[in-house]
Amino acid sequence: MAMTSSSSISVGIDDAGRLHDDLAWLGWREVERDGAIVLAPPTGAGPREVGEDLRTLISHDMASPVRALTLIASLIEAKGADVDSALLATVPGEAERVMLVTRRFSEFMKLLLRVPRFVERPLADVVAAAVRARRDRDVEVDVAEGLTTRLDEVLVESAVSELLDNARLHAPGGHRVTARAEADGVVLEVADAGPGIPAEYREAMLRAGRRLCHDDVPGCGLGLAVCAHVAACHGGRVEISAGADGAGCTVRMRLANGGAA
Amino acid sequence: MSTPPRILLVEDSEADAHLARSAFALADIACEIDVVRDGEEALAYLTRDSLHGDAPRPALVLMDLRLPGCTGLEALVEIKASEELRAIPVVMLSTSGDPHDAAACYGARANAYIAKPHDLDGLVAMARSIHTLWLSAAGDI
Repeated sequence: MAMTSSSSISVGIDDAGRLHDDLAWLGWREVERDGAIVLAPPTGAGPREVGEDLRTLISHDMASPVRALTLIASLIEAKGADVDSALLATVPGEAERVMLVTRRFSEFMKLLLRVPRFVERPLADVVAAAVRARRDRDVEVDVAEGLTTRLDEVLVESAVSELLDNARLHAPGGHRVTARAEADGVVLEVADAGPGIPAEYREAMLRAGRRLCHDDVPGCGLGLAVCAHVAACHGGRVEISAGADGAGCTVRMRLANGGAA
Repeated sequence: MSTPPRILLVEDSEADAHLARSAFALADIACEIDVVRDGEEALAYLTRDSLHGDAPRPALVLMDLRLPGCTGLEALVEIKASEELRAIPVVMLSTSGDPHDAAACYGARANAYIAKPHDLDGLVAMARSIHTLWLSAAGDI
């Protein structure tokens, strides 16, 4: 059957509720077009790309410290006290890395598996919940009380929390959260005065597992991927830029109303 | 007595960098190993930028595939695109041993792709293979 982007088909569905949830989970959204509700495909990375990124995360980032710890244990067994002390000093860091990747992978999967539930909510409440949860005292929030949109509260709060964590990690001097309404939804921004992300890496940093920092900086490259997933669930996208003066980092999350772009 | 061959190891994991040194030591292979932590720094070292003006030319680059920022594959592409650098053998190392990764590395003209060994025998065998193929005739370059 040949179909174009504007095709419509009528099919009998055995379990419409389940199909709706499965499509929502895959990032498909209900969109009103010409007075009819149609299904629109996901924005951003599709499930196959996200799955491939996560496979890479496990096969490299999880396996790497486990392999190192296994080899260090074998060296201790073979050489006893002759093992290089600098190598032994890496053991706690490698063990922590296993725990970190496990925890972050689990958190990310929980969000990926969530079927979005959209409700009309004040954005200020969602941002305030994230700030409270992170006990963030270095943040300046400028979100109008009356600014509401249809969103999935759990997903958007998680994305804001990730952005607060990133800002606190890379720019301890303070950061700012703002939001505004635009024609096709709302725009939520978190801006900091940290080192920023070079333009050539901004797109890649939205993929799961991509990082700019070395292993001595905590993280495994999932924070911005969470934001990209949440924005895509809402029919939007994430943009990364430098601040107005060319320094720092501004992450802009566009959320279409009720996910209906 | 000839100078031991020099290896540029591009590796962001401190543990893996120490393990690579241990591999050559266990195999009783004399070599100098300089470590940089990402693809960008590797290119800076190889092109002897202002921070690495006196960096010697290595006999071999051992490059981890998964690096922060500029990945190992991206750095490999840059090295093989450079007339000045492309003759330096580049051996790509990866934890996963994924055939797709291997194909991508060979497609970008890697001299070899090696899945990082998971046991001591494999570690020593890897060091010996590298020595036989790329270091034994290297000497001073």
